[in-house]
Amino acid sequence: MKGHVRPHGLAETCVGSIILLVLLSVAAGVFVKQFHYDRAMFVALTPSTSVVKSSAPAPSAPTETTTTAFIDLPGALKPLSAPETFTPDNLYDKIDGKAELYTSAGVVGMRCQRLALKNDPNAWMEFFVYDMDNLRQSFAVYSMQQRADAQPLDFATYAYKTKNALFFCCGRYYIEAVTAAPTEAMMAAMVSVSKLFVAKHPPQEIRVAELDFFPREHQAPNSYMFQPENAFGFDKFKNVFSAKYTINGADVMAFLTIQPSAGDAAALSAAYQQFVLTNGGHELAGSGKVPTAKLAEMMGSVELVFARGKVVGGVHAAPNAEAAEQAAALLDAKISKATK
Amino acid sequence: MIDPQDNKAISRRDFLVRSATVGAAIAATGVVGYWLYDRSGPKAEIVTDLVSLPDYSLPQLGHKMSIVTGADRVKTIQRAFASLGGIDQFIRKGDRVLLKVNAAFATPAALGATSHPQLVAEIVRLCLQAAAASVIVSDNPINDPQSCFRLTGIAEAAESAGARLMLPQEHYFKPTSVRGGTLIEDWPLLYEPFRDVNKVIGIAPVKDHHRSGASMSMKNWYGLMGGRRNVFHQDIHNIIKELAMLVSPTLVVLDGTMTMMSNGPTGGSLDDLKPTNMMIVSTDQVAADAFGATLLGKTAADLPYIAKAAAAGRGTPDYESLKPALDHVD
Repeated sequence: MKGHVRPHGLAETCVGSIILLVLLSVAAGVFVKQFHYDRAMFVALTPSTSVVKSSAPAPSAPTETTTTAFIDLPGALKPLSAPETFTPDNLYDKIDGKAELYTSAGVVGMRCQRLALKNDPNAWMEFFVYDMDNLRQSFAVYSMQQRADAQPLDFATYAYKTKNALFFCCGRYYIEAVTAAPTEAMMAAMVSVSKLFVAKHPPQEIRVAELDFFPREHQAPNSYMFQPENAFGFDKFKNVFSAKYTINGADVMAFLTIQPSAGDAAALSAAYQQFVLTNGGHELAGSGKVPTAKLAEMMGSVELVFARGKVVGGVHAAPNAEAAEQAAALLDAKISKATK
Repeated sequence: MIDPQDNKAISRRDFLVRSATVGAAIAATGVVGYWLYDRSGPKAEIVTDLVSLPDYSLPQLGHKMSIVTGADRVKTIQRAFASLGGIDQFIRKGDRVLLKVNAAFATPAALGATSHPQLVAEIVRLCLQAAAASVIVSDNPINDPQSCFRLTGIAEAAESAGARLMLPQEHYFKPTSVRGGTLIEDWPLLYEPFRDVNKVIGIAPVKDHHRSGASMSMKNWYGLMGGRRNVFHQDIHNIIKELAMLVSPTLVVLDGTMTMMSNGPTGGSLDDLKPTNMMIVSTDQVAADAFGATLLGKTAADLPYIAKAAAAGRGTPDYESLKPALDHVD
């Protein structure tokens, strides 16, 4: 039987030996190199980019030389640079310490690009699209950065402009357009490109329902805020909405958060009062304007919290108890009316 | 080509022997792989080539500070140096100077997120006027350094004033550790720009910062770190303290001409800026930041890293104890 096995030829033996030698050399090279890599360079150059999970409009095969826009552009604008894409892991590379604001609010990804006026390439803007996953989260980062001198815009529910920039929510997306050349032509182009974006990405939700619980009287403009986590330093305060009011010359912040049940709301209200008391607060007697209100003085200001059905409402950092109770009464009345 | 005769020729015995041989080879490979497998991954090596930065300060001059009010950066920086006895108190003939600017973002100077190009150019000019042999301008913006230096206007300003621009490159980084620190340990430092200089000046704008409350002179050294430095943001006050321990500059220049009062460190809207019209020059980076805090409507106590840096012996938060030279230019 053995006689039937074809013997190896010299050529086969040589080729086989050469292949084995090459493989051994590669293995030896890997073995030696692993002890001599430059750790500093390894750390310094570790790419922080990971897989892009964003569903923000994707650029078509972006490369360093790509100059196509990742969004629809009006006739007045042209791309000035390639689109850039960032994930929660490397958003820091672009916006440094502000990345935390977005990551804590649940950012999924961000794309941006510089755009210039066709008739004046030196006049350029940068267009940022943050994919925040849902309207509440896009509203969170929108509201936390609202500028005092904002001028409302009408092409989106939550939109405003300043002297040189434009900020708005479009459903799950939070958009910023910023220029250092705020000419009339540039600002008009900024509005145009934003309207095109809204038209291309019609939002499924356009309003944050919880804001309807806030009374409009005495309310400061552009003062809504949404804090997804840890509002006022209290770790159980999640999904807290707030608005600022000026009542009889006193500035106060009213807030609310909706709980799964009335029992949960009552428990959370009690827990916040306890949190205030254990952090140096002193209980104050209320006047009864809001039946379930609990008041405390802490570090020279007044905290008030109450429960109305599934809603926990309150007033944060009021200058005095009277202002806190007046604001709370307005809020309680609106919540009561809205939940009937 | 396979010879059908060979296939027919193989016996059961041969088949079993060959199968056993192949099986043994596979098993042996698996055993060797398992034997070599390092479950814990690469461990920190004992690095013997760590670099450290020398002390660039001039202790014989003591702690000095000048504060000049005015809206024109060129005039205020000139007066600020003059108030301290002239830039030649700090920069001598033949000195090789590094200017560590803040070029972190590819945004125009008007948005106030980066060192202002006019200020950078004037400091370059003053250094060369004091007969400095060379002036280097550098920073590590991470994302697209070329765009950052170009769009901020710093590149053109620095080069036209006679400085050499050093944009970060792979081989510019060397590992460093801060003695007595716990965060900066065997971490890549933008070292090459320091290699041949004997004076260091930090140039930073006064800004709000989402994590640390403020970004000023000490936070400006953050731009010297390589790697995934964002991990340090989890312990922002201690990392700023360690940065102050890492760098002992000759001077810091804190530009409070336009202060970014909110939405820092990027800003974006001109509404985030407030004209505060102050230029601060100091040999004490802690004192400079303590004064800078007031431009943000804060005190040094509001910024924990200031007290931490002071406790580490990097300066004093009591800037008034330096008896700052006060001046004004129209």
